[in-house]
Amino acid sequence: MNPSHRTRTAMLAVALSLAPGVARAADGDAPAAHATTPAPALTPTFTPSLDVLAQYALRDTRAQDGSSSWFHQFEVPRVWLGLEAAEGDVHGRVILEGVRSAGDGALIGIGGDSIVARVREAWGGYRAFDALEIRAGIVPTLVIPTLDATWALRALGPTSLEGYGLSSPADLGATASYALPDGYGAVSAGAFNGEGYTNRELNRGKNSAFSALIRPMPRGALAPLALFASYERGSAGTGSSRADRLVGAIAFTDERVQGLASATYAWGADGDGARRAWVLEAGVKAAPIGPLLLAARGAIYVRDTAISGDAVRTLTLAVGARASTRLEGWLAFDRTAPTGAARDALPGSDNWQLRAVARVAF
Amino acid sequence: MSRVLRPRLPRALAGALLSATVSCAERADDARTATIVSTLTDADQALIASRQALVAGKYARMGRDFYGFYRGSLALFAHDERAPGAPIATSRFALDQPLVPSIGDPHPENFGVMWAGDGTPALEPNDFDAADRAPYLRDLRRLVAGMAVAATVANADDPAAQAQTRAAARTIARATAQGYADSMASLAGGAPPARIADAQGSAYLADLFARAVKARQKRTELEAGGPTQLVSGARTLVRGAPDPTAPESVQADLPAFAYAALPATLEAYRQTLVAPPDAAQFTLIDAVRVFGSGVASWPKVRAIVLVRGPTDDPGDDVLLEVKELTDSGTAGWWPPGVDYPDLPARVRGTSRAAWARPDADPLWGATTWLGLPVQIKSESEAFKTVRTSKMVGSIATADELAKLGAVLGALLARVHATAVLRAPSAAPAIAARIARDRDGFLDEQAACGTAYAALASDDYARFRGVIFEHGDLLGHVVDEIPPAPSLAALFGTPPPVVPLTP
Repeated sequence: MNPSHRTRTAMLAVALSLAPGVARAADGDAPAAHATTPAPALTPTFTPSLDVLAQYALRDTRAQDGSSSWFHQFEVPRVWLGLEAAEGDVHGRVILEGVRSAGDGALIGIGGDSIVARVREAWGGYRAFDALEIRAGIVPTLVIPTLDATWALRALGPTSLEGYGLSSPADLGATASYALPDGYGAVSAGAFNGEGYTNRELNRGKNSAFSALIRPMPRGALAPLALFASYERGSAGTGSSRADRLVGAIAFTDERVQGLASATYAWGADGDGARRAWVLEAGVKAAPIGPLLLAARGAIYVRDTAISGDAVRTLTLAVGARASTRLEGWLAFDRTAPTGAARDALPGSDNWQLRAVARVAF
Repeated sequence: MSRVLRPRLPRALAGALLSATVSCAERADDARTATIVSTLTDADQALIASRQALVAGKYARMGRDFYGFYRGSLALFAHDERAPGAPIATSRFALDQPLVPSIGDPHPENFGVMWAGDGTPALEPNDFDAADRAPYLRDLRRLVAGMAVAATVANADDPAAQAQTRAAARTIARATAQGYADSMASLAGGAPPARIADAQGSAYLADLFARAVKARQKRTELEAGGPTQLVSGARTLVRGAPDPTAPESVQADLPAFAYAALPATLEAYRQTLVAPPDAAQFTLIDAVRVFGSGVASWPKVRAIVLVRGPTDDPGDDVLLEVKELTDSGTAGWWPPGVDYPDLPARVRGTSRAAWARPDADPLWGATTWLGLPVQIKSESEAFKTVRTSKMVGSIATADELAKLGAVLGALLARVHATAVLRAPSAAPAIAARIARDRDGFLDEQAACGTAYAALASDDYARFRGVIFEHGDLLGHVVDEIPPAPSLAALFGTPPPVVPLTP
């Protein structure tokens, strides 16, 4: 295996490791050797992890009369502390995340509005046949973790799919993933409550989803190319509103460049099962010279396909530096621009923002 | 085994997946019904989790009449104003900045006569459960649509009269918007904010003021058949249902620990008043847990407290209402999203900004009780609230409802024009926005208000259908999380829900 291929494989492994249950498949190509080698004595391993995003943000919000107002604050968009345990084919992971105890605009919180810990992931898993992994508990869902890992831009914000509340990155349920032979990718299926990891189940309907991450040419010049598709059939809320999602994406994950373009079509949004919405999003991250990082991301969210011009557009441009494999810093500019009726319906959504972001991950 | 099974795994996985895909999801047939149910239960999620019987009472109350549904469905209104294509989601006159001191839910029944510290009455907003800061149009449209709903339900016992007010709903809605626009223009031009101390030519308000004066003179709330009883010269609060025709309105004993905590709460509350009376006036005589009051606030902890008043004479005893406060659901528009340090401060700040004088109810304060944020105010029959059930006959013709709407619109403009929290008055910006096309503004609000009232009417029918089909919790299937024993005792056991009649 040459170095560049190792790099590509490692990047894909990062992406796949957050997709349900395919990390081992991406690790190497020696399942046959396992079959003939006597099994060593098993000892449990425990691997802690930490992921902290800290940022300073200056936001200028434009009002409908043309005036503007600004606000600035220090934030921690992500505080994760995780522990993964494994012994043989059995493993599990728990991730705690820090979150504000009161929602936007709320005054009732815990200890004022303290940042409190909640469970982001808590699952047990089993690997079988060196290709199949089954997880159950609070598990990563099939789409957002894969997209986040593929383009490695989570430091600059969540995907639009998550930001607009069209999908949750984790949920209570179970997933099964099968790693295709020879590095061709993986197919996954899952069943979830459908309310996301932040809510209790509210209806009898369960979401079912499948996804496929395909590397059409896992060897050679096009090895970094991956295609992703997912369909989820679901319901949301006590009223069981339709909430189906079709996602397609194309990704390129090279040593120095990661790019992703995705399209999502939603049947049902924001508790309205009759609405049809879609999101287009594309981004690229590059490491052209030494520690320098460059990134750009844009998205358009059409809130209702039946309403002309009701959309929100976002653009992020960022320059950063990677001080080590554990630390990277960014200076980012974000612009959010509602169009048409969205401007009236979403006060405060017309804004730009300057951010200084630091990410430490172990 | 792995060599045998591995090639079959993808097919097995796909088969299981397809099976799951077609079988698991269970979705509502009617999307709007699902939206109504999900939105309302989501807004009440914390209450449903801990006090389902009380939430069931609220939904049953909402299902009892159209106006009750409108009162209890603010969360749906808030959802709809952000929904693409909804009649209240867009405007040529939208202005998201500056935010105004918002009443949050200024439907007509959240206004009423209040008696100020100097003993004079005035029409004021009297409910600040949802008050915070918000864009002006949100409040105005809630009021305008509320007047259109009132036009629909007024004269319930007179079909002919009701047909006339219903037919005039758009005119009434327009008059409400016009009262707002005219008053805002005047305030922006430098006119002083006016206290509405008389009926302003409205027959409905004349009746309201007259009933308020009469009740104040007679201290109706202390009369026999009311919430209190006089036994051997000592006044106490009645246990049970003071009005046998309203079996859901019940007064019950408070848990001992809650009762014991009241003196400290009353003293803390006294210090939040604009002009605190002598502490002796708040000497606790009796207190009860109250069920079956309000609509949106039906599930909240509520108590009636009987205190000594100015003298030991039971004739001047004073009743106070203690009501749990929860988040407004109105804030969060602009960073940082909140403008007050806590809930009592929010209610004190918004109410005193909204009133023509800060002591519009001299006994209106807010503090905590057993750690629970609470609002405490006068519980008096003299504080007469606008009621659609009283909109009957000659005081509720189409013309009279239009006059009432105009006064309420003007009052709302006065509230919005008030400068709060170091921000200047929003009146010039709002007035300038409206002045671009005043008639267009009035037409737009009238059309929007009547359209939303029509939607709310359809929603009400859907809501009732859900209750009949799925029960008072609208099909919510999640088990209650048992609260701590002390909290459960404070929530109490409400009387059984009176079933809806088809």
